Amino acid sequence: MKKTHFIVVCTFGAGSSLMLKMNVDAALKEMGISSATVEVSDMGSCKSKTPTAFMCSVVLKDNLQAQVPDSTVIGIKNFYNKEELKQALMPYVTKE
Amino acid sequence: MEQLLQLLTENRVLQHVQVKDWQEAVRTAGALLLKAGDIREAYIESSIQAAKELGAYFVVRPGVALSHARPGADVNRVGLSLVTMTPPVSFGHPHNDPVFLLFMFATLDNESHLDMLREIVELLCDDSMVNAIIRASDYAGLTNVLSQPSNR
Repeated sequence: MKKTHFIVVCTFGAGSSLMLKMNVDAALKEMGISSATVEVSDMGSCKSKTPTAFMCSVVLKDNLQAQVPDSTVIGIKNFYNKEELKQALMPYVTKE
Repeated sequence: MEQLLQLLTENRVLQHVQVKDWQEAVRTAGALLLKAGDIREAYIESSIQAAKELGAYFVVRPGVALSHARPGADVNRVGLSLVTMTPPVSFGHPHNDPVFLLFMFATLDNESHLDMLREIVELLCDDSMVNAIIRASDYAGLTNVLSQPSNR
């Protein structure tokens, strides 16, 4: 089976996406998932990539979805709401 | 929060500022970095331009925004500023407005600011610390909060 792989995205790949990655890593850990990987990317470099799902701010979702029309894009409202993050991740990770 | 205490010197902090909109907030935070010598002027407009083009994606949680532009360009060294706003200001985020705290950072590449970012994450995970920073009336109040251990 293909390993679960998330790509978190923001404009420059240096601020909010890195921040989101840190929180997604923590949420996955709390969920007991150790095999999923989380990568950071800027908006411009997403097109050629094929993760299990992209993740970004809910504000960027439509913009990003237009660039990767065939991929799943998860929009996050509050990067610091662990429950929101876990619920968003749940459908894409298999319990280990 | 050693990194934050080191970076957020008194000249990089303005508290309970009254601004008319999010652009003025970003300009205020940017002016602190500019005066401190961390960035060149173009960095401020780049930060505003990114937000104009893509929206308020950098309001990362209720009440808190993290503004920045591209790493490297127009940056002299890693820098961080903080503007707290009274009253809070709408940034145009569908869920996280209004914004009380605006952090603005500058970095040289995608890595040299990681320690700083880790501490910001630790801070923003802790609602009581965020609220204490919003309430802090002066610089000593801020450093007092940042000197306490977080709940994480």
